Amino acid sequence: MGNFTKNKFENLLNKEFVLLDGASGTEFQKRGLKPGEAPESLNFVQQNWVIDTHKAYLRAGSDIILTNTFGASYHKLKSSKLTPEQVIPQAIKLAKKAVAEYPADLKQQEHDLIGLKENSLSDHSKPQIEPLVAFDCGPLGALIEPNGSMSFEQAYQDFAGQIRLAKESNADLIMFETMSDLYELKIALLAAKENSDLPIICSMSFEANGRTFSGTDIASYVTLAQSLGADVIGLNCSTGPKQLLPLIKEILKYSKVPVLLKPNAGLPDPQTGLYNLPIEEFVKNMREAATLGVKFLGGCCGTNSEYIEALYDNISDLKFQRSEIKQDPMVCSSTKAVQIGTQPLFVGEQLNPTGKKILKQALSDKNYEAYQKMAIMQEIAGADILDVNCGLPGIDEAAAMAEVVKKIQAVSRLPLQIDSNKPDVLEIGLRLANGRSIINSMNGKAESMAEVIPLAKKYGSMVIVLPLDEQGIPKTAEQRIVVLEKIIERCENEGLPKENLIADCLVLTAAAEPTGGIECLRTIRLVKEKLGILTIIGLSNISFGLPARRQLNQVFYAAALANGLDLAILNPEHEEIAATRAGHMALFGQDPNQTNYLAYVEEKGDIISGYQKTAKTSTAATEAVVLPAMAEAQSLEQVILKGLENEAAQLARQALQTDMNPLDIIQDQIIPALDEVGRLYQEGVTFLPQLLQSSKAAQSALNPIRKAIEAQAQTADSVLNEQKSAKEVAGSKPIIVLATVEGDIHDIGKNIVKTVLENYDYTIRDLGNDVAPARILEAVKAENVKLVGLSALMTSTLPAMEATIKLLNPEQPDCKIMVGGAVLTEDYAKSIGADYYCQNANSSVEVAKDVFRNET
Amino acid sequence: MKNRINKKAILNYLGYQNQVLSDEFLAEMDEAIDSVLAAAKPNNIWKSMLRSELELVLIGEDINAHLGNAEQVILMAATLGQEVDYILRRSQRLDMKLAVILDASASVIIETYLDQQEDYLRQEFIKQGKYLSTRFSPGYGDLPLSVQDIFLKILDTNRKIGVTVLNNGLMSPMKSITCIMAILDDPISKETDPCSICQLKGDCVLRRRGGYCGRFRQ
Repeated sequence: MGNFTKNKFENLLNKEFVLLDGASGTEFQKRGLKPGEAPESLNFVQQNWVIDTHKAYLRAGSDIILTNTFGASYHKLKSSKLTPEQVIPQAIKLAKKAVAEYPADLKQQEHDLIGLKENSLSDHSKPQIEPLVAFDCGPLGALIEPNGSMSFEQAYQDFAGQIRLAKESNADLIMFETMSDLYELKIALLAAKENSDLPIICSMSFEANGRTFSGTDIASYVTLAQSLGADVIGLNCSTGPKQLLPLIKEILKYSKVPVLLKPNAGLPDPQTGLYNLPIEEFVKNMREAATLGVKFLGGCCGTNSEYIEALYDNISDLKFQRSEIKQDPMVCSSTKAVQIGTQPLFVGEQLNPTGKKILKQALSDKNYEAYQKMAIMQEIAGADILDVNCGLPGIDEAAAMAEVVKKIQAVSRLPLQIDSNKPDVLEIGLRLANGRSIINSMNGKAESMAEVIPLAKKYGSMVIVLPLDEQGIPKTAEQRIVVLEKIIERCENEGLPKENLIADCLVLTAAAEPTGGIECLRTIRLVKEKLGILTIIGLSNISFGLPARRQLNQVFYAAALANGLDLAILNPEHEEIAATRAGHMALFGQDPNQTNYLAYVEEKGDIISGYQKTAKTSTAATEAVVLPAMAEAQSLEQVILKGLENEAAQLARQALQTDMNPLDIIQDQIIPALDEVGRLYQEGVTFLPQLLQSSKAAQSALNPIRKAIEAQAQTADSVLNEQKSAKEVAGSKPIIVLATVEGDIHDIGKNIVKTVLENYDYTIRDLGNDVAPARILEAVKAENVKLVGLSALMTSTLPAMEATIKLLNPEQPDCKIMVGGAVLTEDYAKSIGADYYCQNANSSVEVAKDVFRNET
Repeated sequence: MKNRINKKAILNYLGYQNQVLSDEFLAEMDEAIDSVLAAAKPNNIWKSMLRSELELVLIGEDINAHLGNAEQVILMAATLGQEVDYILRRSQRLDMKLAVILDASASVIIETYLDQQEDYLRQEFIKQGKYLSTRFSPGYGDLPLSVQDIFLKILDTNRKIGVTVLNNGLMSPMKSITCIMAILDDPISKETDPCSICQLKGDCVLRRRGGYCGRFRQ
């Protein structure tokens, strides 16, 4: 069956242009569908409306008609009496019936004659091209995390169920349309590929500003859809054809597969609901799209069979032509596409627990905020792509990768590079990444290729390939080329094109391998000359074991760029690296008129002679509220009260220089300062921004002090015990679990509380928002936690708070519960069984002190 | 829009009680407003409908009192878009102080945007000899948040402006508002007192401090 439908689809591609249908919703409304009523119900109660609408389009010349299933997701149908199991087969049956019945009148024969290519006219054995029935699949109607609460897996199951039904009912192809969330489209494409072999048309709905509602741009859309194997890529709905022309031109620039345009008949009038674009205008603009190279044409809201018929007539004289695509490969997130090979790029290396205690701890605590912070810092520092590694002995690396990828893409816009030597970890990362990613990495060993090539193909990923195999790491560049040639050959034989490959040119440590540096540079050059694929290095390895590594890295980076390097895995927070790249591009013709270099210097100044920022002075934040009688802030306590971050850090470091015990600095200086901050806040002398500013100052004082405490602990430990788990390090500090209750995604209140509590040196287990009661219980049990803070912002989520308390209380009677949130009152808190009501951010501190007063 | 933004309202959200503010803080607030405006893609959709068609939406005494004897009403939804949610989420990972200022600014900016749209509609309807009441939103008084789902369906907001309802009647993007206005033949003489129908009546922190949340126009 699969081949048969593929063939039917390929036959269609032989036509000059492929016509789809127009709106059905508008048509049904004309016939009497009421506002708010599900059009899918018509498949049962008004079958003739559905069949007649299909037939009208077929007579008008549609080659593909869409089934009446736009809203037939499990999620959307939940509110009706129908199920996808009922709707999808029935709707496909009706469409097939229409195809079988519609009169093959003169017009249709004429249509086929004009539509076929000249050479096929002589081929009398060729069957007449029968119109195809596309299973129409719209958005699920629920938002996926982090914007909503539907999980990746739930969304996948919904699409997969629909696809299987469509396949069983013999749909000819699948059309995903009116998508505005790229993540949802990715899930839909994976579900389609994994549950059928039907051809796929995908179409997103873009605003005239060039973005979807969720911020996706054209380049990211095309990059993702193409990498996951969509057969046609295009746009529908949102606005009229004229407004979509600039966007369709951009799609034509990137898409190697045929392009579709299915716009609205202009915009609706809010008072009448009618669309305003006359047929002549619509057709004129669509003809322009056709001449630009759009092969699949149709209409969306407000169009009817007259539009399609006029369109058919209007383009019957046109020959399809489209210029060839020449683009460097791209990777993308949902909102940002990065072209590789056009200019040197930074892959941020910091999201890797090797040598980073804070990330090791994040992994063992399953609390990935440190990854989020670091991702944001790498992005701000100028990373173009983020390498993500979750390798730590003793943890479930795949589960960690899944969570880390989700968390990072909630706060960063950069494409990801999934870094692991385990195929299951790679796969979960590639799958959950919202975009097209890079695999780091594959080598020339048979086992590695057998594992990674299928993943790279399935997810359309780019792959870093290492020129090493069973024989080890080749010393010379020439030997490395031989291994790379072998890898490329195998990849191409298996259908993984070589433009998806990035050669790791292998940086060996100069201190151990005197010729390592030069062979790496020669490899870069030879790969470029002989293999024509992209190149990458892991920069800092060159200086391993030598002092003042940053300057060595810089020297090597400059040399690598001069030899044609495309990507480097490095820490973009090192300013000299960005300076080197900007300088390289300015000097070697990659920055016409040195525009970017001048902008760089304008922003960063001269990094050799020191900073001279001419742009805005750094926003060294300070007090929000002018506190009286404290003109001169000099003690640590005073600077925390005023919220002076730099001064607080400096005074803390000074205090550490003396022989004061770090713990005493916290107890005698910082805690009293915070208590005073809290008192001023409670009394209304300050307000929330000042409280948080003081928290920031306290945090910057605490950072060096905590480091000192850790260092002490390590020296003491190293004699006794090499490895101390992160949990033990957290040690005696009392643990508080915080969560925003199930159903509520507003967690700003909870985050404020966390910020304040962390300064008091409690260990916070932040479970995030929309947290199910069972998960909170699990976290409390896991560490025998004595205090839980629950937050809810909306009246409608208060029942979830109550449910959580009802679950916790009998199971963990020793655990106290504090609650807070905009809609809570003291009385209500009591009535649902909470132990404490927190009226504001600082009340939680009083509660914690009360609960833990007997500890320490 | 920037000129119309009521900074006092932003400060109210932050719990301001007439403290003396530093210049740095005021500058920071200005920058926050700019960041929200830069991220925002304000969008709205409205539809005028017969009151009789909207039994499922117009639930409770308060909304029906608010609409008076109007036969026609306007349903409207407006949003700042998802990018604002993104910068709010992101800022909470770096700097909670900035995060709360951004959040308060965004809350006021969506109201300001809606004020503008409302003014525009008001003028348009005056041309037709009609008058609009003030806005009334699900969640005010006894109009339950649960109507949000059908409200958004009627306006097809998911498709038209990218607004979706989550479980429990919350909307995504977070800075989105739905509202109802009456289309009246005569200018209204008396407005609903927002506090009189509020669920926090009698236990409102802002009222105790002598202010109010300003969800209605000031």
